[in-house]
Amino acid sequence: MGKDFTPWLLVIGAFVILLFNDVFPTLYAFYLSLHVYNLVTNPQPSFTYLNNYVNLLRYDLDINASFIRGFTFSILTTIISLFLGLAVAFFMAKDFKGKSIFRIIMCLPLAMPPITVGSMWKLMCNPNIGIIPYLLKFLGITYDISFNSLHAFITVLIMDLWHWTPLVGLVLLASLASIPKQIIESAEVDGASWPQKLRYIYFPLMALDILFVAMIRFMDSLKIFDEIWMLTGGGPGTSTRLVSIALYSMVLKRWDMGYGAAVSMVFTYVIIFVSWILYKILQVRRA
Amino acid sequence: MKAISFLNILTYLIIILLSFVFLFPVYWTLITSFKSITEIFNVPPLLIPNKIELSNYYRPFVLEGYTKLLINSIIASTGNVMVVIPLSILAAYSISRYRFFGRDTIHFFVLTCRMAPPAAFIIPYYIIFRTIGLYDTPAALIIVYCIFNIPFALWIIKSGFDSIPREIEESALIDGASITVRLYKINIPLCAPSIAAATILTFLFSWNEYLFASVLTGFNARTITTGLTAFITEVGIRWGEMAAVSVVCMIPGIILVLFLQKYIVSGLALGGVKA
Repeated sequence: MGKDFTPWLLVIGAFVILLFNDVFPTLYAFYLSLHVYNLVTNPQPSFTYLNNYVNLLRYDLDINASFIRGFTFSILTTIISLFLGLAVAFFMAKDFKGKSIFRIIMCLPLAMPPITVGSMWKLMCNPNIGIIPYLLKFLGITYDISFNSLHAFITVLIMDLWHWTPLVGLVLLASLASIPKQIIESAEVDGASWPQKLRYIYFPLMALDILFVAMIRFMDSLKIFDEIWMLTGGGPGTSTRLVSIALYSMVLKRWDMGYGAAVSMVFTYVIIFVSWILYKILQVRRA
Repeated sequence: MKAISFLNILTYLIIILLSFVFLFPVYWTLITSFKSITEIFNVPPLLIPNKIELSNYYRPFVLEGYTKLLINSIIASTGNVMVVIPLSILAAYSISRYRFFGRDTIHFFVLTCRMAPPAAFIIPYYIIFRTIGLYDTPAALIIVYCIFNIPFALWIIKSGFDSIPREIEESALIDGASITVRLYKINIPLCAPSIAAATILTFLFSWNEYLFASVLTGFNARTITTGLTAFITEVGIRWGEMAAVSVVCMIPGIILVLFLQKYIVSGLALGGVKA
């Protein structure tokens, strides 16, 4: 095909728009991160070497804590949603009356706008009007996400599980469906118990898909913003202030673009680094 | 026999419990949107409103101009589909059918764009779109949403093209069909289900987006999702209106799930994701 430019002509549109959307802003953010640039107090960018990064890594307790909080949140939600999702997948794979309705219900959370997931849980969790505080009162728990940090963090976690466990369930359901029936039947003939089947058939055959969906969940939960912004706004205190929230509220409050860009760069590279490691793990397992 | 029926009952109970847990927040939002303000604050909370109130819909959509936000959302989402789908079809076709220098690099680059954390882009986007004068226009959103929609649409459509047997296209090539004919008469019709799925999901992702819309629009191009946070005011939260607008925001998602139910039921909905 020597001089045939057709393939490049076909990809050029998508390629250019993504360059403009992804590469150019990243380079621009890098440029900004080397400057002092505040839309309110210092509207003319002035070069400051790596000072923004030094300040960020050495002195900014707020952002550093939000990274730790974000990782804690992501690890917890990934692990729990894997277990719940696996259970949900086994239930979805069962044949029973009303199976299609059950599957439709399980897909519903996935199609919801994240911001409305936040408002739904806000409607349920508010101490004045919500049904959850009302019910928990009978158990003797005074539940209030606007004062109790632990309650807020757990609620955010549960909200995220509500939203994304069905995704894990659906991916693992597809994985379950791809296991040949004969293998399971022959194991049953040999008298394999449930735990044995799980340990020697399901886990090994589903390992790649489990890893894959764990990777997707982990990356997505690191980037979570809308739901938490709507539900708690990062509060009470800083208990649900994850990286995106910290970055967003910092930009909105201080309009400090140079420093915010430095935070953005660190955030992006943390995500790239983590996905690179997960990708390598997936590749090693696949080989 | 008895043990089996006990297990069956347990299975049913768990399934009912799961359905309840996953349905209840949506139900709660829906009924709250039909409650009057006194009913919302009723103790104990009402599971069914005594009387259906439409004022929660009437106030934002008729009196406060939320219809405009709705129209903006439709413009931004439809516009984004019209940019994303043609570009993705062409790029997917190229990557699926040709072996060319840089193919794998471009493919990998496109897919990695989806990994970018949105919050990290708000600063450069804000300044860039202010500078080029697209701030607070639907065009800004249409361009920006490509960053997560093109990789996704390309992925789905490419797996559609990959599954078409090469022989069909080769025989067309022997008959002397040009690339345009091959694309429009053979590949796109055969790939229609993938393209339809990509179109619907692209629309939904654009519709559901909040973060970029809240940063890149101010007054004129605000979308319906950004209108939702306006109900959290200094003097309190306007619960009824918030629930009503939430319900309206959810409509495309609910339609999608019902529309795609036969794929969901056959467990194929996310089969493509595994590829």
